[in-house]
Amino acid sequence: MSEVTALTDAQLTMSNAPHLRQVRTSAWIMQQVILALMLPTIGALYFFGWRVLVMIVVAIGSCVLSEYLFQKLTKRQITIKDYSAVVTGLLLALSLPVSAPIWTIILGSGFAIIFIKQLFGGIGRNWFNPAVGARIMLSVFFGEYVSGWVEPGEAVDATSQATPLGVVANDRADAVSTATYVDAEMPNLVDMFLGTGVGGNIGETSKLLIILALVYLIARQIIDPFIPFLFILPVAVITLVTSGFDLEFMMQHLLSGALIFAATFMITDYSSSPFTPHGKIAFAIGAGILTVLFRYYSDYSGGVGFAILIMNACVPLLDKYLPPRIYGHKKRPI
Amino acid sequence: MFAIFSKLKWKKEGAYTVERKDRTEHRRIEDASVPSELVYPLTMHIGAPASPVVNVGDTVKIGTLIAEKNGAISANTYSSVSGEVIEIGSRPTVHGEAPCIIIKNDFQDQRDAPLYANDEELDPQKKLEIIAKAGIVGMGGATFPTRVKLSPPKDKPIDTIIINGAECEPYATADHRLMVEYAEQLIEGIRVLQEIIPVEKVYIAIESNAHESVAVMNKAIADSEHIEIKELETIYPQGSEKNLIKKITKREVSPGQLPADVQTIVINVATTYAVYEAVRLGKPLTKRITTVSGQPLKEPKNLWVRIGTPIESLIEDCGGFQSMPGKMIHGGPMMGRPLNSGRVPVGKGTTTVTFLAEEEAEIDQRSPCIKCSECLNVCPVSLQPIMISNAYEKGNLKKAEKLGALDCIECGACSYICPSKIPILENIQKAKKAIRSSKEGA
Ligand code: SF4
Ligand code: SF4
Repeated sequence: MSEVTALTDAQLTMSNAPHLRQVRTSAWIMQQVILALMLPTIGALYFFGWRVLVMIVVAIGSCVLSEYLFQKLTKRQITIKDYSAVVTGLLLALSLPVSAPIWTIILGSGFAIIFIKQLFGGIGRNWFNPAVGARIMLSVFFGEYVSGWVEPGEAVDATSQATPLGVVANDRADAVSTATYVDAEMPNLVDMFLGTGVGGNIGETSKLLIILALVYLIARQIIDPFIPFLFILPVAVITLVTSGFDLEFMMQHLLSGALIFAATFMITDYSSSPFTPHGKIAFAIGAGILTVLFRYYSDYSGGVGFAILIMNACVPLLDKYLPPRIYGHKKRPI
Repeated sequence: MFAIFSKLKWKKEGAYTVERKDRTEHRRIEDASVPSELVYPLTMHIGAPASPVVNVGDTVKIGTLIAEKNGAISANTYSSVSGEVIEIGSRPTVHGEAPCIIIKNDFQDQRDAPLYANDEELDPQKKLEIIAKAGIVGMGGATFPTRVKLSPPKDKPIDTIIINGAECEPYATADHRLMVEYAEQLIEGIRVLQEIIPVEKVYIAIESNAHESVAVMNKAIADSEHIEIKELETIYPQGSEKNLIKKITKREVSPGQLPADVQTIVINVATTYAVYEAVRLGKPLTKRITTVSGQPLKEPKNLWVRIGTPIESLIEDCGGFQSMPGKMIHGGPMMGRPLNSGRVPVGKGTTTVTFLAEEEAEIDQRSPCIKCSECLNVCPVSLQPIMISNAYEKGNLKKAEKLGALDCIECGACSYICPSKIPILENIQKAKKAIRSSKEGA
């Protein structure tokens, strides 16, 4: 026989089916999320300057280091190569104002990774979104340091000033009567959309860039397109109805605060959102409704974060009671 | 039409796997060379092994019965060459070492008498018997005796027959080529089925990537109003029986039920062709079309193979290897079984022999689950695969069972899709085994 390669020379693997795997890996998926986060990062650099870079480097560095040290000390498998700690660091940095002191970033990162992620069992097991949890922890205990929202171009020690959401929140008492009323301080919708001249957390200002990131993640099949939509929908509907169908009021709500950012990066986080399709739907809609409630009935303007944390806490229940119905069965396997 | 959905992430009850059919889908089926020694396992079907009815030294012809079925769930086996029985003993088969009849080919190709006499009147019952006699089993890989499938209980009137041409495994093109090249015979086979089980409607299910077979079959059915082509999305495992029934009739087969319980019968195209040959031409099942494909092969092909031909002979027909194979699979890469011997013969259920290159055969190291939901999204029977896998790994068989481990059809879509490369199906298979054995023990 003139065969170049004979079967008898081959080292045949005998592992079980399926014999092929798709090319995607978990690390690749996390890299795509990081890539998408580059859009708001670029926006942050453009709007707020070089300090953004320092914040991001510190946040990522402390997240990765916390994960490494924790896993080293507890003798667990080191998983920093999966990039999820990088994502957490980036998310946390982007959800802080440019005036946030460096120590708050380090503290937040350590808290996110150790208390929220690792103590719950690491990637895929954590109930709460680490970045959201850390952000809330910082604003509850160190509010004065991390809520001085700053307009682009101003120095780090700038005085805090009204953000669009602050204006919307203050007007909530007479939301309906202000249907046609536009506060002098309220930035116009175009500025809010582009992120030009509005204050806020560094990564959340330009909705345009965030929406581009969202489109990227949907096109890459990394996130389910209905979940961000179902999260934003109740916010749109409730604000529209309660304001007597004032489109501008609705748009102000949609474009202010962390709503779009959270819709893209937080609500869609794998670990802290439900696993089952119906669970996901309930999760997104619930978080949307809670967001409006927080915005309407509390003075705290970062309602999105609380809404997500509360829904995060419901995830195990949602997954337990909303599993898909198995083919050929009448009831869900509860 | 399906393009937009395939671009979104959501629950699809199937996976868009690689297709890799391009190297064989346009090649005409060729006759495989016939080796000098053929091996007939007594276990080429599900159920009881057949019992040999020949002895060493007997001469046989093409179509001589060499092993007889043993009860209802079993099947006859015929010689596919003329020659002499030289051994009855253990040989490597798809299911490990198993008893086989070995026949030495005399290359005379003499034929034995047909399954029935020329002047015989064939009523439906007689036709069923011919199908049983011909040794026909599900040729899509399941190898369940076709006669049993075609005799549903009297209280369950069948109203739909589905001809399964949805060849969803990557690489496989044997059914596709059969439809393209033997459309007339297939339609005749469908008529035979209708003569046995008169139904309103026969659907031929074909995946949308097989344009050519859709076109050819459409032409062939032009004047048969009982037959309709159902073009289905190309998604794995579209061709699974339960899935086809749901997609076409909107009915679901409950656990413990058979397709007949929802008034449906699913028959593979290759089986339909065998039915045609048995009932119309009086020929028992002695050959089949097998796709031999994969990157390491020089010239992948679809071959008409005499059953009993060792796989190494097919490799030669395909010009040998151009690179070192890392895996040899009986069947497709999703559900097939790994082989380590080229002496394993082609059986009644050998749809495909797939070769993977060394680098393709490697599987990345497992990493922790990131809870991306993809395994759930692709499961055709809507299980939560990783939950079952986790329950098994934690030793919680009760939970694994409650989550539906026994409903898993073992399609492998979950393991395929998992970005963390978790051997989900392997765990579920182990869980199923453990659950079943604990039940038997109780
Ligand atoms: S192997 Fe089983 S659990 Fe996995 S996708 Fe297929 S049917 Fe679902
Ligand atoms: S097991 Fe794999 S596919 Fe399933 S959720 Fe986890 S990472 Fe995703």
